[in-house]
Amino acid sequence: MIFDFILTSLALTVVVEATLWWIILRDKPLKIVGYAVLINFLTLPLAQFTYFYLLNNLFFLEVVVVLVESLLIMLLFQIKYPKALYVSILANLASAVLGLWWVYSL
Amino acid sequence: MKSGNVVVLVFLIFCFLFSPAYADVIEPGQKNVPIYYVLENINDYPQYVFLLHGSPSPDLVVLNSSSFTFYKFSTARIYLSKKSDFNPAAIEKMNFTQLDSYFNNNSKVSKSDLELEAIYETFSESSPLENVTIILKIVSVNPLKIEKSRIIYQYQNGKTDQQNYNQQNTTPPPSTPVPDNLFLYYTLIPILAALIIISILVYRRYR
Repeated sequence: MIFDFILTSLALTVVVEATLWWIILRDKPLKIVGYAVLINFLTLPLAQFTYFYLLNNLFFLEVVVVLVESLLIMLLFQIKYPKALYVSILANLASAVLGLWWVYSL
Repeated sequence: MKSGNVVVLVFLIFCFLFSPAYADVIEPGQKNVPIYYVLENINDYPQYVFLLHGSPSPDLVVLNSSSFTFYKFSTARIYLSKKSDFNPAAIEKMNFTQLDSYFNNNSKVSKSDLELEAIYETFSESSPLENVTIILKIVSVNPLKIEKSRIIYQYQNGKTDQQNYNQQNTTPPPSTPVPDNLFLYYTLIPILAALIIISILVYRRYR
């Protein structure tokens, strides 16, 4: 059960965030998916570990994830930080809304 | 207002809406981890009856060496009566007020200072922690003194983690409760991702 949860959350997050990044950044789809996989494989396991075992606070974790991902988006896509932050907030907002909808519908 | 500001505002509102809820109602996707209690040396006191009484429940439970728990929103205490003074048939007929008086204004019944709770914590449903068992030790019967001796964390994969109480008011936390098969997910995948990202950035910088 826990593997289903982890794999689905990982896939859902990558798909949602890559789609939103592509809509805003209009970069090469393969590059966007690759970076989405890399960034989310870095942040999601750490965020889930923190949420399950250390700090049961979605607000704090979302803020940290947004900040980390915005920095990585800025560096990898070589765009300005305000735009990276905007992309990160939108993408994480969308993935969090969908993720919560999914968890609530289980 | 700029669209960027709207996004930030919506994000903050969303985060505050879904920050931890402390209401009594459990959220979907969350689970309560129950606490079970065991009075480990109860058999050392055969001349006494150990009773559990809580608010709003249970009214009365006669304890033995088996584990026990109670309604999730209740708090309860352990009481002590001599077997010779204990009349379960008479207690069963008591109403709430009489029962409360029996437990709290009765020279033949001793009350433990230890207040027991039924829920350890609320976690995500995917949390591997299944339940906890607190082992209680009767230190003395006159006056009645019961202490928390140790806590056993029970996980879904069958593993347990036992910790001793050094201070009665501080619950010792579990040692990292991560099942082995998930340890790779929580460590190896982020490390690999970080290494690849760093490699890409370094390659770009020096090519």
